Amino acid sequence: MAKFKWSPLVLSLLLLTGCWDQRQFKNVKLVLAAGIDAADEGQVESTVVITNVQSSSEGPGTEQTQIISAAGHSPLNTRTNIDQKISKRYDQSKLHVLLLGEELAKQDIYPSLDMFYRDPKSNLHAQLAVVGGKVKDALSLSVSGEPRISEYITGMLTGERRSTHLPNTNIQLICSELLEPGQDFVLPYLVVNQEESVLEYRGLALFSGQSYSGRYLPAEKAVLFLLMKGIRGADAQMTRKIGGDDHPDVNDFITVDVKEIHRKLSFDTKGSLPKVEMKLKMEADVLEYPPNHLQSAKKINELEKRIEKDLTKEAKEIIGLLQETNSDAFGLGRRLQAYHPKVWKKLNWNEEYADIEIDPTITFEIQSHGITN
Amino acid sequence: MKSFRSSGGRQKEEKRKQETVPNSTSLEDNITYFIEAFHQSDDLKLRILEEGRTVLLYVESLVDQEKIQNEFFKPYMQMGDQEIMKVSSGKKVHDRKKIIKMLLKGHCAFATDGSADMLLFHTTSAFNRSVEEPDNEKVVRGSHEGFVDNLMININLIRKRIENENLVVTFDKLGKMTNTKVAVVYLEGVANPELVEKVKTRLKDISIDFVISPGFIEEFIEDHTYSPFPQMINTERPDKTVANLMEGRVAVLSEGSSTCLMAPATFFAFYQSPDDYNSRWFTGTFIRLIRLFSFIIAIGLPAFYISIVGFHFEVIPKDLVIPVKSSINEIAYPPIIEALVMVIIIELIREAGIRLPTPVGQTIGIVGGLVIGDAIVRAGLVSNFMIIVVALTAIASFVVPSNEMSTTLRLLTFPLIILSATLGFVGIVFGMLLLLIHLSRMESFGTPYFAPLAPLHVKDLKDTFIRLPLFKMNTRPKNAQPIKKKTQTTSREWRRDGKNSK
Repeated sequence: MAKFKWSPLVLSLLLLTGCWDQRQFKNVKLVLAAGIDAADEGQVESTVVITNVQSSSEGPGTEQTQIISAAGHSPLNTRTNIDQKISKRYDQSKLHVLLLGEELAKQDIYPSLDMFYRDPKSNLHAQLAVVGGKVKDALSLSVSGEPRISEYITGMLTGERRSTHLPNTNIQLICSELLEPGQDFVLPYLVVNQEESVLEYRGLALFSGQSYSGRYLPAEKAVLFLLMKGIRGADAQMTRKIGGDDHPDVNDFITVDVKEIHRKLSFDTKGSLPKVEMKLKMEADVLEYPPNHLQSAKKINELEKRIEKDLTKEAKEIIGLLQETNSDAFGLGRRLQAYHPKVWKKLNWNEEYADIEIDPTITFEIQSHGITN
Repeated sequence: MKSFRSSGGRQKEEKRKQETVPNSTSLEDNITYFIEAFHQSDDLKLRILEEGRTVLLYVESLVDQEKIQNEFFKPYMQMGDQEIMKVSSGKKVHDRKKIIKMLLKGHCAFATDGSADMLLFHTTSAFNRSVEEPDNEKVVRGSHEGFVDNLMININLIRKRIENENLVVTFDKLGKMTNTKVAVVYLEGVANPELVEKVKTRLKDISIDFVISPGFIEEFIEDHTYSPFPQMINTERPDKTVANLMEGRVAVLSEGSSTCLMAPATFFAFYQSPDDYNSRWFTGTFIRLIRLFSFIIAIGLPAFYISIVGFHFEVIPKDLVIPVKSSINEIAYPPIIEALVMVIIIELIREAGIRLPTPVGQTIGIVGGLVIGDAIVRAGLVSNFMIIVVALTAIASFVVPSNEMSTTLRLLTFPLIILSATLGFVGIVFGMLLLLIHLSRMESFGTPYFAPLAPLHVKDLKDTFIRLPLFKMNTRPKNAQPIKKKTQTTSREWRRDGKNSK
């Protein structure tokens, strides 16, 4: 027995010290949605939505939401200040949504995200969005039928993602794009509709480097933009005007669902500035076309030509906007760096991106038109 | 009777055995001796015949009166006391020690005045329960016979299934005072002689006053008594015993117990059930995989849950966060207390249910399961999720076909709960690691306990995690150490021509 004399000591040393590191789930205040705004004097203001649940023996417990804001010098400083207003401590390792205020995003968003990258416990899958106006207003909304604002926003963003209005973005995914010179990113742009007490998805906020350029790509153009990026969600619907005059009616429109895209990017590096040629081949189904007569190959051909022309024009507009805002959301710089490193080295991409020539060509092909003609 | 006691080291005992006390020729002396030898026990019966010239002696509680009538009185009435000494069913013995032994077996002794020889008749009475299916090892299909508490009937059940002269049965007595008859059964030519010798030597070394059950024997002959894992297969099923004998294992049976012990055992042997072989092999494989999965649930689920809610709640799936939170938010105690309370309640209910008669046992089940389960959640002592976790754990531990392994699993839950409550996932990893190390280094009668996984023997996996069709099992598993490897050549010759009609 003598050799076990010290075992209680060793065991308690090993086992009891562990308890100190416990983070009891029942003792934390859960933050599922949070947001950061710019405040006066270079400060930031954080708003967190704390979900408190009251347990009941049957069925799910009742939920109460607590919305707390505090200003501070840095996001973590605001956390300390928020903790002083609540019981226990809040924990954002189950954060679902992180909203960034427009004003803050225009400065630099990296400082706001830094703490998430450093903490191994943080949820890097949290969705990001830019809010036009104040984040605080967005998080304070009480949307009828949606008890949790975090659920509401993630649900909305997931829906938009499935319909190819939004690329998959979360804190982790934008990390490399945030720090890399040859690639910029987009974030969903939401605005608060106080009248109806809802949030609205407006489009894609275009980022240049680490800050929001101040302009967003409207939702109608987002589908084409994402298809040009080579991203397609569950479906990619586009409604375009074909024919008609200045007073179009419902018969002048066609809705297609792009089923497949083939993208080819090629760089012409002979000149002083590289020329980019973007070839897109789309295969689509017709979902809606009231005038009918889609059985004739001639008619289909006509339609295809019309849509091609339309989309190419639109693609040029999108590229124009991207160059205007100096946002390389297509990641052309990254490609250039990978395939033409010599050219890349000579260029100051950040300065010269806006001046390079990008030429999109779109070929459109109708593959099927549903079960009627 | 063939005794397997070898001469080495046991001389003192041998001497005691060889000691004989011859009978006197005086009837009175003899009778007095036996009465004294039995300390005037009242169930030693004397029937004085022929006006005191002859006496019939027996232990009343051990004999069958009808047998005495048939074996002794019938010929006695016909022949008289002189002729009866020549009757062939009687056995002449003059050694008093031997006579005592036979009396204790239920023989009756006939003594005549003037003769040192006593005539012994086999009149043992036997009270046997009928051969029924064992309650704790029921199967859906297949044999419904089970061992009884009589050694000879048990061996008969085995012999009936293996009609082969190579089936060897050797007897020995264990327990210095109880003299319990123990049988070692094996199949010569299949079982490894070294293994047989090992089992016999270990049995022979037991020197205890009384052996009541195979549990005693197991504890004396197993390799690692300080391990929680059972190291001998424990069954009440003749078909399971036969299957194991055929693989080359050695079985130990004892008088007065319906349990058969088999060695060597491996961890995975406890997860096999005769049902696996009675059903189609897909089903057998599926069920076996479920059983092995239940091992992980049974020892790890409460620990996993505790470390999640106590340390790593960031791994809770997004949609489960609020349900879990609302369930545990207002529980007064930390999860480890919750878990221990629930696990102990379940053990209490189980233990209470075993001892009580069936109707009361059911009441306990209802009171325990429904009332306590429901009330404890309403009272806010234990969370809903913990009840789900612990109930699932308990069910998973009962999935194992072997009762020994089942209790082991429930015991192993506790250290893992403590480790997980203090160190989180790290604790579980440490615990599992220790468990794995322990399992890998253990041996049962020379066979690695965790075989065929450690050491890996790919060929034997055919009957471990999965059960392949029987015609694919051409070799005996290595872990039973058989000396005859092949079990069959081609059992499906008719498939060769590609015609199924043959």
